[in-house]
Order: sequence, then C-alpha cells, then structure tokens
Amino acid sequence: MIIAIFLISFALDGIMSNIFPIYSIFTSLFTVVSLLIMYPYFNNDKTKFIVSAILLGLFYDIVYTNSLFINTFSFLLIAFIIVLIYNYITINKLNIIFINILIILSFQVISYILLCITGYTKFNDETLITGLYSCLISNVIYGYLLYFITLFLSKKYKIRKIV
Amino acid sequence: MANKKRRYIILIILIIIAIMLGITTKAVKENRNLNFLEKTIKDSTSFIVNIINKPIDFVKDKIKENKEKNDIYKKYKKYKDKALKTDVSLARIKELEKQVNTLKESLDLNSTLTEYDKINANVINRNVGNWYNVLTIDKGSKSGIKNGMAVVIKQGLIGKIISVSNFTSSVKLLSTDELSNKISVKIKIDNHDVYGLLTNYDKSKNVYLIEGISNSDEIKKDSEVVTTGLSEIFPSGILVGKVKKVRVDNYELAKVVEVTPSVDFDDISIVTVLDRNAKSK
Repeated sequence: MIIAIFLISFALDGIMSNIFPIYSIFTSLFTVVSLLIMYPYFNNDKTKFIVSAILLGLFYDIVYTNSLFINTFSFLLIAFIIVLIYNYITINKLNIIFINILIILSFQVISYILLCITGYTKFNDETLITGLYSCLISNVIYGYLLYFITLFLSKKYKIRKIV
Repeated sequence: MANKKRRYIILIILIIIAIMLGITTKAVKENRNLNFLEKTIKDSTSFIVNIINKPIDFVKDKIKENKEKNDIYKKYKKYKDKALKTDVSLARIKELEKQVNTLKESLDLNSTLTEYDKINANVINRNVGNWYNVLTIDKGSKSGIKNGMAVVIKQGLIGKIISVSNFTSSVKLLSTDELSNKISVKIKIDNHDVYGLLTNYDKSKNVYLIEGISNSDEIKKDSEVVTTGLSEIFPSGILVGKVKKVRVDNYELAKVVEVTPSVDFDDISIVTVLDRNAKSK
C-alpha cells in the first residue's frame, strides 16, 4: 500500500499542475503530504522511511524540477521533522490538519531557503509568502482524504499501523 | 570517548552537507547536460504521466470547446472583416519574401535574424514545486531540441529550453524573479526602435522591466516590445509585450520601462520551440 500511495501522489503532483493555472492557490505537494500520512505504516522502521523520503526527493528533482538534490535535501529534512512529530504527538483526525499545514509550510520554507543558498533564485519575501499560502488548500484537502482512505484500507486489509 | 566520536560524526555530516550543497549549486545552473540516469528516469516517468494526462486533456479540450461554441457568432463577426484583410496581407508577405530571398542571394547571406524552424510540443507538467518556473514538454533531443532554444506560444515569447532528455525538455519561463540571461529587446516607436535589456520580472505587478534606455528617448505607452535577434538564442521580432509605464531609475540617469507580458503564463498547454540554427545550416 505504501508504494502505491507514494506513486499515486507523485503522479498526481504532475497531473494537478496541468489542471490548475500555474500561479493558482492550488499548488500541489501531494508527495510531501503522503510522507506525513504514510509514516505510521512503516511500523517504526525509521531507516526505511528516511531512505524512501530521499528516493522520492531524488525522483522529484529529476522528473519535475531539474534541481538535483534540492528536493532530496528538503524531503530528507521533512522526513526528520515527521519522525520528530510522531515521537511527541499522537495523530488523530483533528490535529492531522494542523500538522499537515505545519509540514507543508516547513517544506516550502526549507526548499525556498535552499534555492536561495544555491543561487537558483534571489530571496523575495513577497514570493515566499505567496508560495506559502498558495499550497495550503489543495494539500490540506488531499492530506485529510488520504488519512481516511489509508485508515479505511488498513482496517479492511488488516495492515499493521504502529506509531 | 563517546563525546569525541559524536563530534567526529557531526563533523562528517557537516562536510557531507557542504559537499552536497556545492554539487547542488552547480547542478541548478541552467543549460546543464543531463546524465544518462537522469535522462532515462525523466523519459520513462514522463511517458507514463503523458498517458495518464491523455484522458484529462480530452475532457479539458471538450470543456473548452463547449465554452467557445457559446460565443461562436461573436467570433464570426469579429474575424469576418479580418479574413478579407488577411488575403491582402498574405499577398504582400509573399512579395516581400521574394524580395528578401533575392536580396539574400545577391548579398550571399545564409540566414537573417528573423529566420527559424518551428517544433511544436505539448506541455506535460507545469511549475511543479512552485518555485521553479519550469515547464516540461513532450519533445526532446530526438526531435531536434537543444539547450538554449527560444520557446513561444501564439501570443509571444515565454522562455527558453534549459535541459533536454531524449523525449522531454524543460522550459524556464520568463516569469521568474531573476533572469540569469538578460534578453536584448527593442521598443517599436513610429519610425524607429529603442534598444534595451529585459532584466527582470516583477511578479506582484505582472510586468517585465527593461533597463539601459537613455533618458532622452521618448517612449509611448502601449508601444510593442519585441526581441532584437542580437543574441544566439532569440530570433528577431518575437513579441514580448506592450509598454505599460515608463519611469526614471533610482539614480535618475536612465529610464526603466515596465512591460505587460503578451502571454498569459497561467494557461500554457501547447508551445513552439524555435530552432534558429536550422535555417542557417
């Protein structure tokens, strides 16, 4: 199930970009959201989770953004943050929204800072703020849906889920 | 002892991060040649995404078609008069082309600044990841696309090719905060042209900024801005936008011209890549 969700989210990132206008408030970061939702299904195998995040980031770089290692780095850092969050907080259907928002915003800030450090773009606070709010709506909805879908699937097929 | 070991591990991690950042700084540079692994992954993934996109594109086209059907009569009235004028213009263009060819033969010229071959392509994905201002198109080196070629749509210039795999290419849009390559443009004013450099894009105002224009040059609002063809990338005469506002720079030495882009970056689905070198071969 983990691989299927990752692949679907990864493909959806590309597909959604074709449906909505380039500079809309529906920027998709479904792959990042899927990392957050799928962590419990790794059954505390942190190494496997971190490696999966690195691979997803690398693929994201190669297929979508042409910026080798920027997303690999960002995904790695986000994976660490997710592990930290799950260590301290128990996720439920209410706080998943807030944690999802936190992860999305962290990812956007990390990748923007990395892009500025590596000289890909120059820092512009207006661009950063636009980038932050433009990705909230669609990703929060996707995260919420994915949370319930995975919950349903794990119950139906008796997939182990340990936090 | 354990403390010392920990310090070494932290040091090694920091060194690895520094090396990775160094590699990334080099890797994010434009016009980078993709390696074999990158090309293979990109081609195969884009192939799958392209197949998934087909039914979505079909539905999008149908919706667009239906919308257009509603105001078909208005369009018919608008284009009826234009069609008559087009015939006259076409005849004139043919005559001018003939004259240009004759002049080229007499001057022994291989190509002019306005000549190029066109390669049409579909957009596979657009600006994934938000910050990158990059489009992926479904044509690559097998179709003759190379790094640095200009990319246009019906309304005008949108960007240039920054990386090419066998069956896909990436297009860097002009709507980026900082243009690493400045573009030589000219502003068409009545009988003469004013030359300048398109240096930046202001996202909040949706305008390009043109610099390097003398204070003495008179520039009218709504004048057309086109490429000059004075670089190896962009052919001459491609529409960039129209003058929106003219102001004086911070030092009051030169003019800065704000130009409204002729294209709508939000909705790009089919693009044309211009191969400037093909004609001169």
